[in-house]
Amino acid sequence: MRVSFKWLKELVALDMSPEALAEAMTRAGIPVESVEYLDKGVEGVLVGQLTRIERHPNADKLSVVQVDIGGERPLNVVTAAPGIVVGQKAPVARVGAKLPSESHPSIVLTDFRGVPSEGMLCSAEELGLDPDKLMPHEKEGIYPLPADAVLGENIVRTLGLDDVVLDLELTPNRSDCMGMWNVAREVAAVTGGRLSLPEVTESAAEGEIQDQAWVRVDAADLCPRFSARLVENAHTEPSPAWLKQRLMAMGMRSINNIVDVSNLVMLETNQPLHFYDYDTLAGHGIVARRGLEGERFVTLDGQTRNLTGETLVIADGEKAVGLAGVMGGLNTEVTDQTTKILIEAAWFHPTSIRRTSQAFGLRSEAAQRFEKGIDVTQTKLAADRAAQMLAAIGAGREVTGALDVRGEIEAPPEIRLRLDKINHDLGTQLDGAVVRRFLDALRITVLEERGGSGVGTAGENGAAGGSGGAVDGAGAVGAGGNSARVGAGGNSARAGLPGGVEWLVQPPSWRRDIALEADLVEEAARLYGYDKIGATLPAGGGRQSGSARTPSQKLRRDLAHFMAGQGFLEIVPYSFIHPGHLDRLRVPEGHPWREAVALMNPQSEEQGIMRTTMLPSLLSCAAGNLNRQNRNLRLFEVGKIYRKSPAPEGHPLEIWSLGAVCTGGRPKSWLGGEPKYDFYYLKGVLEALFQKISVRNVRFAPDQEVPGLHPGRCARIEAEGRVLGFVGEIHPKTAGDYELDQRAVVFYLDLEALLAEAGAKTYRPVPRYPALTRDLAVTVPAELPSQEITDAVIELGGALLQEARLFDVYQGEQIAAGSKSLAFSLTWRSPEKTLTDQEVNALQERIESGLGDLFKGQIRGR
Amino acid sequence: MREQLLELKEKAEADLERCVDLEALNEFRVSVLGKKGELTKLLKNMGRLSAEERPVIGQLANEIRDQLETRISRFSETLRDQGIQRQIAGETLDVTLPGTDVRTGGRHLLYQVQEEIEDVFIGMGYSVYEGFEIETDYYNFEVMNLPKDHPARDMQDSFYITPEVLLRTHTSPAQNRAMEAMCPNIPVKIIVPGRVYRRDDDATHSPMFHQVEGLLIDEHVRFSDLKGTLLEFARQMFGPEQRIRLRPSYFPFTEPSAEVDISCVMCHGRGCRTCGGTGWLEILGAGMVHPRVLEMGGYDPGKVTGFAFGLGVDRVTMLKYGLDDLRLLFENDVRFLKQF
Repeated sequence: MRVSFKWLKELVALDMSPEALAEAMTRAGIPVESVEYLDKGVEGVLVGQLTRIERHPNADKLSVVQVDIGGERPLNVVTAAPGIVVGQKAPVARVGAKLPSESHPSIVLTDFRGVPSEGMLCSAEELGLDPDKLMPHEKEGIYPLPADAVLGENIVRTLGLDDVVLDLELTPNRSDCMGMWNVAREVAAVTGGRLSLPEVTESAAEGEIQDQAWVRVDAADLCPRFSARLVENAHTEPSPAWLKQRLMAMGMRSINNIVDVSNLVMLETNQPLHFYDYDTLAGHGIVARRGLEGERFVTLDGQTRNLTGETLVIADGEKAVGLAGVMGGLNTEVTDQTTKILIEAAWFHPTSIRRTSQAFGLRSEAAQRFEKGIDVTQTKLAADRAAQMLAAIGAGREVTGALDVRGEIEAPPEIRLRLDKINHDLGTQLDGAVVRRFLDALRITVLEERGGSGVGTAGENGAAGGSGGAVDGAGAVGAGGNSARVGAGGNSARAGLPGGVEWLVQPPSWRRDIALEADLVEEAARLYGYDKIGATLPAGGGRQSGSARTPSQKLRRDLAHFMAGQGFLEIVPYSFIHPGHLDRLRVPEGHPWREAVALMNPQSEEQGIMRTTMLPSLLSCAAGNLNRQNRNLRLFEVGKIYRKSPAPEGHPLEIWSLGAVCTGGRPKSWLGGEPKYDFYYLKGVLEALFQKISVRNVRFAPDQEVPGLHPGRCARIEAEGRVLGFVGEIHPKTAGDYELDQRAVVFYLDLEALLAEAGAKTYRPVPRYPALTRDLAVTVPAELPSQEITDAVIELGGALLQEARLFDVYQGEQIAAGSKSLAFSLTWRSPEKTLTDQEVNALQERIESGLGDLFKGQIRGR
Repeated sequence: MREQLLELKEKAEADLERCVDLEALNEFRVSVLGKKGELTKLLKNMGRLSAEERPVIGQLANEIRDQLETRISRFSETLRDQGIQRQIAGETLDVTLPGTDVRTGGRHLLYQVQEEIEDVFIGMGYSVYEGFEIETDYYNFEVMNLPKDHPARDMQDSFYITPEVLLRTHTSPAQNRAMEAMCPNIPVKIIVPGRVYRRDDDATHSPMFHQVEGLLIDEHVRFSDLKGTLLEFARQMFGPEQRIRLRPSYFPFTEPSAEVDISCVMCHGRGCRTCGGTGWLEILGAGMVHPRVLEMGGYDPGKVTGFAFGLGVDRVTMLKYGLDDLRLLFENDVRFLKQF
């Protein structure tokens, strides 16, 4: 909401700068986003009249113009502007003038091919005028000034640029401040400035209008109040300068006197109006009713609209003439030919307007006000104001009387307000008189007062009436001047709510946001000033509602720190992905990854579904970095994957997961030894991870069926029969699809499964007797998974075998084709004594013969 | 015998000096003082001595043995020192060569900051509570006092799954879930970190971003407690000199409501480009829990009060580290990730 400071000062006595006001309002909950000086720094530009125009002696395209600027000597100005005529009035920038123009920031005496120029004729652009607020003919060439512009006057004054605009960033609850009178009321309450709203003479209920027009409401639930006035002998013409300038400052374009009055009254009262060409209304009357199925009509913007029973429409005796509160119809629009105007001022149900405006995509100024809820008591006042203003500027003559249909109108609520509640909730020690002053300043009617300072019942600020008359400033809350003290740490407020001062109050009709005691507490808080409220800490006695973190949260944090410690960088990809990723990964139909939760209204297909797997995120991140020449990558993510519920109407599942991807290797080093970030590297990280969080008995089983992974280089990770996740190299096809130009390996783990398997860390005594270490090499068929041999070694070794570490795998010379040699380092230890060579030899022989039986394994070195 | 002993001593002392290393020295020691050494051999003839001579010679032999032992041990030290000196001289490293390439990883900046925020509140006795990212209209809006057709729903343009299910637009729905889970117990003292989603995408908005919600419900919770808690947070997070400023605002789920500013982390309140010259940075929204929200959570607003706040982790991160574009946080470029 733009607010003209000049206009505001007509409504409230203000003795402060726009900036100071902006600060005060922001601190009181009406945030001012910006303070804009309309003159944009224009200085030294005057109204001039072109009294002589001659061709430049030495330049075809230039003219030498004599410009009269009132009393002083006329100026000689050289200009290249086309289409200028003698007698025309134009803005002229004198030598020394300042402009908000990049090409001519300041004007100096300039010689144009032998002719000195004492100034410059200005265009709208050079004056910094907003092109959106200009008529087409005003944008081109020298900016045209009206014939009655005063010669020699500062152009800033002539164009109404001697104003400052405060841009209010209104919160949804304060839409009342979309009307200047309400802004003025608020400013008066905050600053203590005296309020002087214009007089509106209430029209008589009965008059000529009753014989000439009618209004009916057939949808009282959606339209509890409908007021109308008539203006005859109307004619359109350009608006007077003050009206134009006021609208311009408020961010609206002047159209003509009649439309401008409609807009201005809306800006004043927050009550949108609609003007109909009376003579085009069949039956000379209008009705508010629901649309009919199949009904169509053309709105002001020329679009044909299909109506439904959901739409509230305004119709005349025959046809629809407007989408109520949203946009009028072309068929009854006020035009240059219009001579009689029916003024509509109604209250439409916010939800209905909101739906209609959304359904038709029309966010008109009117709709924006109706859908936030306006003051139902003001409809007739606004219609009267418009009729009187039209008459005042000579745009027509008022027809006496008004039409005013009133349905059921809820009065503002009566609310109990306790002083102790205010002080308790805020942690303050305000006294009753201060709060009472706040209430009065806000025009909140005090119906009853109990236990107070003897102010007694008061209702003199009859706000609910709304029927007009100047509402004058009464309760002034000085921005800093009140006697309350800050209750910093004040324990008295904690002592509960003993019987104290309390009021029964009724908010003014335009403050529809005040409904509960808590709303009034906020009003008190913001007028008192949030700054003056102390800073204390809750007196909870250190009680908590749970442990700091849950086991799942701890696990995630531990895993993230572990992965980071291993050298992995954490990534944060979006939770949504393009659905095409599933095809890229060749996920078969029926696979759980196909059970994706899809967005109804994604911003783009890139964010079409919630990911069912981390693979696309990991691969995209790897690809993106490879593409940026980061060849050696180790990335991880702790995040969620999402899946439709297996139950028919069940809520979607969110599954915490850990995923990692690596590619490349450690860069070349002078020390040699450049490990690759390959399958076995990543598996090693996983093994360490499982050890770290005490997940025991983890098995890696070959799996050829995992989408996106290499069938020969992929393992399913299990513990106690539960699948924890997968690790594998990216399928060459998938790698191609994601434009990975080098091998990459990933893993992903289901953290819920992992958490279920993560064991408690338990103490085992540190060994007291020395261990014996022996090597064992066995040759077995090459295709046999090494895990089977390892399992057998452990099984055969028995209780004294502490560890069987596979340290070498060999195929080649000295080994039969189709075979491989596995070498283990076996650690033997007894908890009870030092083992002898003989004992260990016997145990080792048991393994050797066992392996021979099981795998036809040959023990090497024998 | 005495002469023989003195001769042996003299010779041994001379030979000792000729030992070139510890091994030679040891051999020498054995050859002189060992079981089959020269001294032992010589003393085998003690029996031939007279009873008067025997103790005298015995004493002399012991003295000589002790002296030699001492000399040997001292010389052994010297040899050891020399050996170490030689070793050192021979194995000097170019300490300016780079070390083994140990690559550090790291947590994402966002989560470092999130964890820091969590830790501040855990220190004040809060528990980390998590809700769902895919929420129902009921939890996301209705119980947050945002009934259907509430104009403030415009403030949060949502991603819908079905007309009744959506990606949460704020972490606030966890407020009600926590209340349901804990009612009628007090206090409810939680923070809710997590991802939230809104239809927005530019340099300062991302369709996915992170919030930390805070909620305290207890007897006698006051607005001043909210202020004190947030001041404490700001100081722990941004430094002990931090100031905060609360401005009246509007959220459907709090009353009174406030926008909370901290003094600018760049200019410390003097006014700069980051804070738009105001000296203040808006970092969170807060307020006293709306009585209807308490009621819908099962608590009696006549008996308990509460405060709630919602903090943008992404924004705090950007401010703390001076990032100018939010998208940096989600591009996952390792050249960015590695910096933290």
